[in-house]
Amino acid sequence: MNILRRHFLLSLFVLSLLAAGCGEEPRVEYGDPAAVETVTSAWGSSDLQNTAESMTQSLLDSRWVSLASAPPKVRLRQVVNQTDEHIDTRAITDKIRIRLLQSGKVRFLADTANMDQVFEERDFTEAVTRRGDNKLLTDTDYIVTGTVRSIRKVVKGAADVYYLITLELVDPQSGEIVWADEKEIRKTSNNPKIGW
Amino acid sequence: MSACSSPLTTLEIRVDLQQDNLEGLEAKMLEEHESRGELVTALNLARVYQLEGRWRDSINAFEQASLILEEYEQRAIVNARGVLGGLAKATVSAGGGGYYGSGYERTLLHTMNAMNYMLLEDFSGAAVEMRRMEIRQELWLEEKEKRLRELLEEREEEAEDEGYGLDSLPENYSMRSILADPELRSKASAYQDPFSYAVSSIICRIAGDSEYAAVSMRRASSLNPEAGEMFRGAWGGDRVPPLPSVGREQEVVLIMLGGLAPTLRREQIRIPVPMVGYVLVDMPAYDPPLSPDFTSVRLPGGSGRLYELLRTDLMAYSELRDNLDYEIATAVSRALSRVSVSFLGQALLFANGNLRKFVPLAGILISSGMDLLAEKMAESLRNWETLPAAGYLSMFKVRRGAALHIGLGEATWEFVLPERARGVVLVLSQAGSSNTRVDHVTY
Repeated sequence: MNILRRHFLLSLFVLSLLAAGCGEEPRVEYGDPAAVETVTSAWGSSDLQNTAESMTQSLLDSRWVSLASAPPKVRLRQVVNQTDEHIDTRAITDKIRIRLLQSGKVRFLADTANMDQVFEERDFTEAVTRRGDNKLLTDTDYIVTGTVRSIRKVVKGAADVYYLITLELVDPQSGEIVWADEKEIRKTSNNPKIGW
Repeated sequence: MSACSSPLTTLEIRVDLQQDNLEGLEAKMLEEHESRGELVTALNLARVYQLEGRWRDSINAFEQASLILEEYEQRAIVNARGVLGGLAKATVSAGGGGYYGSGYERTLLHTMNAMNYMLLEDFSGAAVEMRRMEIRQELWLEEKEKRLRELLEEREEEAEDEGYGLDSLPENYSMRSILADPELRSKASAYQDPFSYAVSSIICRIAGDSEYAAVSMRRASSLNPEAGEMFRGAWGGDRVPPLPSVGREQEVVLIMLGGLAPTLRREQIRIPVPMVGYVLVDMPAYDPPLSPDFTSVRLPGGSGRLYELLRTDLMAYSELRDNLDYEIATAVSRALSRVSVSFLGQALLFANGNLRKFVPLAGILISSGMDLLAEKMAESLRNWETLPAAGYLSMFKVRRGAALHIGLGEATWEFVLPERARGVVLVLSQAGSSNTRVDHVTY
């Protein structure tokens, strides 16, 4: 009888665990967007934020921006992804542009990626615009280009990844690189020694 | 309950591909992947989406395969699943621990995924996949070298014990003659995959990363001299030329993927074991690949030459040959453990006087139970069945704005090159006699 009772209680316990598990919904929580993210060693939100922050500050401190008599007109070109990850480099440039615009020290022209839409709008309004105004579209003082590179070393149980993000401010008329800076990021990950 | 569904058989897959029943096959594969969620089910699904021209879906399926692989690689150094899997492999079935792909399959995962990005005109994304491919190739090479080093050390330590080797394999093992084939022996040292490096060079050049393209070109050329010949012929030397500006000619790259890779199965063979005599063991073997029918390919202008740079059968057989000692050792261990468990079970019953009459029945039950368990575990032991058997490359130039005609058998595909394009990449896929498609992307 004791054995039967023990089996019954055990079964009840297992069933209640299963029932609790089945009824559980995925839990969603809001987090701090600026918090350091270390879920994996892949490119993440912290890398994006740190890169944008340091590059923006460096560009604002450069004499081409800080000592300019009038806010220069800048167009963001592509930041080339030469890593082994599918990084959306537009997220980097978008973030940098927003910070720079908020500083009020730089004026931005439409990206080349958005030029088709701008041209459409210009054609639409051309009847009421003077031709000279259109020159603003092409009258870029500087363009911003860049590259994201990575070196990854993987051995069994450990990985090391190094990112090098470089940005350049180029005078499109002369081709002169007037400002450049880099941001280095290094991440390592080790598999746990013992686990499931 | 769905997790208990039976996997698709190689025959079912091949029949559906031969009959061009891609929609039906995709539905079955999707159901199978949702139910089993294994590396192979994701890879098969990704390849079928690719054969349907559904590049985005194929990318998603390849990403799922990558995640499964990464989860496997990031497990703890000593992990319970690995220990249990190893134990199951040594005692019950070679399928214990699941199948996480051979080095060449892990490499080709990224090469095939690069095709998806490329055909979506995302050459930058395709280049990312080629860089991931290279990391996999390096890992594969390291793994192979380590395994061979260990094997040599073992043999040096036990000079009198020469292992099992090819000579000790019985005549009736279907892979015996294939593994002893001189072509395989000569190519066995080429652990890396020249096709993927050659494709990497082409893609990275178009993506604007000429330095990486040069490194990939050199690697492809050193692995297969024919790749070097192809690049020299197309690019006029050992350097990666810049993309051409608008001129009289346009570049054409033709990538041809065809047939189906050899498929993994288990084969029962008798192996001599010292002190015991012979034991019946289950060994890995491959059903032959389905070769592509590219004999009647007609290239534009008749000027191009096809270079065969990918042979998945050679890579599969080479892997098997390198692992032969390990496979035989675990197979013998499994055979002996079955005998031991059965013997132990019967001895325990024999020791109890009341249960002694059940000894013969217990022997049958234990044996059948282990058979069932082994069969269930063996379901996971499948390789990437929809991987192409062969890959060819061709690079040549045609007159600007020319109409290209690619012919295969009685079928012909026509493309008129846009005047402003610098070149075109054509991808011809054939996964069955009635299942051929040609896609293209300009750059």
